[in-house]
Amino acid sequence: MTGAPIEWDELTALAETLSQPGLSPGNVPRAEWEKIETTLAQLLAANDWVGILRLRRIFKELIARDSVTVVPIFKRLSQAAIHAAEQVDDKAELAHLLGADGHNLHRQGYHQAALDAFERSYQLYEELGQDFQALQNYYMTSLCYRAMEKRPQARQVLETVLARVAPDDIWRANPLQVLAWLAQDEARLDEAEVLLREAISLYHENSGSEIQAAGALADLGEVVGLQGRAAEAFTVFDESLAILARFHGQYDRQEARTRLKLAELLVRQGETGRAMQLLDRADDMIRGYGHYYDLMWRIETLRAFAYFNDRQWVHTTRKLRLALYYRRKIGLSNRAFAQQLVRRMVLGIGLPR
Amino acid sequence: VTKPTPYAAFGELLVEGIKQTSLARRESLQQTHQFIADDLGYGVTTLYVWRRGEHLPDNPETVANLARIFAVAWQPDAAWITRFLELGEYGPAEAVEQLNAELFGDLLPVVSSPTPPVQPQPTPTRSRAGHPVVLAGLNFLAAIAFRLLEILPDSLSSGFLERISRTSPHDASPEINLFPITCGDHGLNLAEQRLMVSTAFGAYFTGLLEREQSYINLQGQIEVQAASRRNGLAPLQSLYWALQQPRGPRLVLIAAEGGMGKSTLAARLVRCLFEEEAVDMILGDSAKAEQVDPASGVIAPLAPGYDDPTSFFNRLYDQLGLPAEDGPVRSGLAVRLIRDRLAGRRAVIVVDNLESVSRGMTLLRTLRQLVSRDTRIIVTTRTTSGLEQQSDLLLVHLNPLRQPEHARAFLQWHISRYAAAQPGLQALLPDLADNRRLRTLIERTGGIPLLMQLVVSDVARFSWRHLDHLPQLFGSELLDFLYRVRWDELGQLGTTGLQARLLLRFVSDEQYRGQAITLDRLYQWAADSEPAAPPQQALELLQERFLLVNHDITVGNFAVFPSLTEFLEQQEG
Repeated sequence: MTGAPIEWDELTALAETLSQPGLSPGNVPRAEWEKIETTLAQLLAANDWVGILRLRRIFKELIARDSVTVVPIFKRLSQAAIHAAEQVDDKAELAHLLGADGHNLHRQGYHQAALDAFERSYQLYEELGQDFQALQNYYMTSLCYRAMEKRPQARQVLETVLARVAPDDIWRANPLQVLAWLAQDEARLDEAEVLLREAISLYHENSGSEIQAAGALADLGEVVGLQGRAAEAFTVFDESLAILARFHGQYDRQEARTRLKLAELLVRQGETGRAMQLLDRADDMIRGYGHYYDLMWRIETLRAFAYFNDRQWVHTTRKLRLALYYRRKIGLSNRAFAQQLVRRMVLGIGLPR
Repeated sequence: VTKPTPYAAFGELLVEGIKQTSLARRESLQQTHQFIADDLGYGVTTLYVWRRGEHLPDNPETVANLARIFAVAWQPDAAWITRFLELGEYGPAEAVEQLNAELFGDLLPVVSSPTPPVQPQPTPTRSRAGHPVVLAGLNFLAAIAFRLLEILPDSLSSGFLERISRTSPHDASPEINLFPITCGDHGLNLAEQRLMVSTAFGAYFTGLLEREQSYINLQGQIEVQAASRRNGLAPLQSLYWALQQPRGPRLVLIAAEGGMGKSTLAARLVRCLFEEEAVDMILGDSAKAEQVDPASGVIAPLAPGYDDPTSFFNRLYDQLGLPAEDGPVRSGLAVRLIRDRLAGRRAVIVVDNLESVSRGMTLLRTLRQLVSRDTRIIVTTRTTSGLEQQSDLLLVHLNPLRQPEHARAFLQWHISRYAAAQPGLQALLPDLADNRRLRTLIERTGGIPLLMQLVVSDVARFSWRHLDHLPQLFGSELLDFLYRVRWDELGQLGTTGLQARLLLRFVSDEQYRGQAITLDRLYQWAADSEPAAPPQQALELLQERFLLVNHDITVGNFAVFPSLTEFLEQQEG
């Protein structure tokens, strides 16, 4: 299939249109996605590897965001582009594409597959002598290790990364934030708070890091709340939601994540009704996208916890059973979940994640 | 001027108290009402009676309990509480004083040894992760419990768990407030659910949910099965009443021929349930010719959108964010997963056009396992064979409009709604007084609302004599004839007519793709077409023939009737 000449300018304009704030995947007409679908099919049929890489580059910014990464055409485009980069032996491009794929897999809860992608990307960047990009991918392996309950490995990665980054480098915010998660996992909430505040102040220094700041604020709200300062935590959560509101529709997953953390605080405060409303909203924001199972099992776990507090045992078992089902579907161990749940409840550091 | 109520001053203070409590508890007013009502052991409606100042609480202790709730929630001062108790006629001044003392601490018993001053507590150290042996034991128990949870059937556990579960305030609500006859009059804001609803049911059904006053409640059209009918209530209210009964049917089956208004009534029920906060989630599907992935918008050619229980459950999996099964969907597992997902939510599942489904009865039987107090199912179908004997469903038949006065009311509503798009309709208003004409119209159309609308648009274009030229056809045959005549007519109207045909196909194709079909989109479509031409005239041709409906007069929200979509699928060119 050779087909009509590809309208590259039209595709570039489409990518710009789809990147507009306020546009979620659901608001995009079918015909728009079809243009990408048709072009990819045409390029694949012609084994046009360079063309596939060009198409992937056009939608680079869009794919880097949360909301469309689960859209099937972009998943197919990403896989096709990785294959194309291997075919033309473009190591730099391949390293970049593997890193981006790792991010998407990690967001959806496929942590082992994400770890493999990040490690391949890291090695390629090392071979190319691109140290910072290598470091970024190496850093991402810490998130996967943590998600798989391998905290010592995660810590080791983060300490190595921080040792290699200058103290005034604002990118430090990223490893600091993950280090804060580890501190929280180990019940050192005060240390987690200090790390998160440092990360947030670094994110604020970089004008393009609003979404990361919103994510870190959600983490801070959670940590502050766990330390018993609920009023302060509510203010922090409000700040996170206010940032996300400015990007309406583009970061639904992030917004759902902040709402989930806020709901957890409310459940601990005994405000089950309000927490349930927030969880329903978070659920409605992401269930239509499908594929965000990592967040779905956490929403259902929190619902189970809320019903447990409310002594509604039937709903508790239903929700917990569903959380287990989601986890099993994305290959996460339910035995590890049981251990994490017991440990975190004993330590008082929030629900498993 | 509103007549003052006898206890208005008490009511005002009560409103203030409730609002402050709502703020302090960081919850909605509705939740606060529910919380207070539950705490006092009254219904929410009784609370409203007190708020309006119509009555005082029948028991002075209730006034005291209200004061206690406010004192805990937002710490009003003693003067406020005193005034509240006085207006609530709690009792003599001594009693008020005593309660104030209780609330503000004066009557606390004197303890023999002074309470040690509270030392600021350091943040509890959380480095203690528990004794390793204890932790290992807990881990083991949790893992076993999880495994059991996954494998045990519901039947073994749910009965026992239900008995020992605490009754939630929601469960315990004994009151049934009859929904008003106007329930469902207002359009819904579908918010995050719009995309899913629109891709599943199409722009036509979505428009019915969103627009104001989409349905005219015609006497005699709705026939509710005898067991659920209530003396003195209009059929629509009987239907609402049945839906509200704690042990009433949760599955409503609306049966009628095409064009009778099944979807309109289904939409009205959904709107009312939303309005009354009886549901907050719309799920389901319409048996249509294609299915769209809500995230990508990619169309999967399916005929129809669901054709058996498996494809319907796959649709529900998508809508609920459940991972797809690796193999064929097992209905037992599907029911369990869907029920687990819906636990705690109030959902309505709409199954549109059941008659198109090859194993409709199997689907219906399986769906019955999903219904609960919080999950309702609304089914539309053209046939009801084998269904009448089922006791757990509420069967609703839609009858044709047989009486001239009913036809008149319906056509007056039709003209008021569509005269902007087809100005010729306005001239027919005086003619509606003529019963003879209305009887002829009823006779020629069988009293089917959609047929009446199409024929009346022809009468507006030509004259009442047009009725004499209609062939002796009924139901779907007449509908097909009317569509056919229009389609052919458009083919003879030059480039504008041909553009109108293409426009109709465009709207028909686009209406299951999630996004509203606005006027801007139609202009964009026209600009991108070959040859590019403004669509205004083509739009006029379609609207004056009642082939295209517009749910939003301001920016446009166009749709075609599902029956027209079916007709268009059979046409070439």
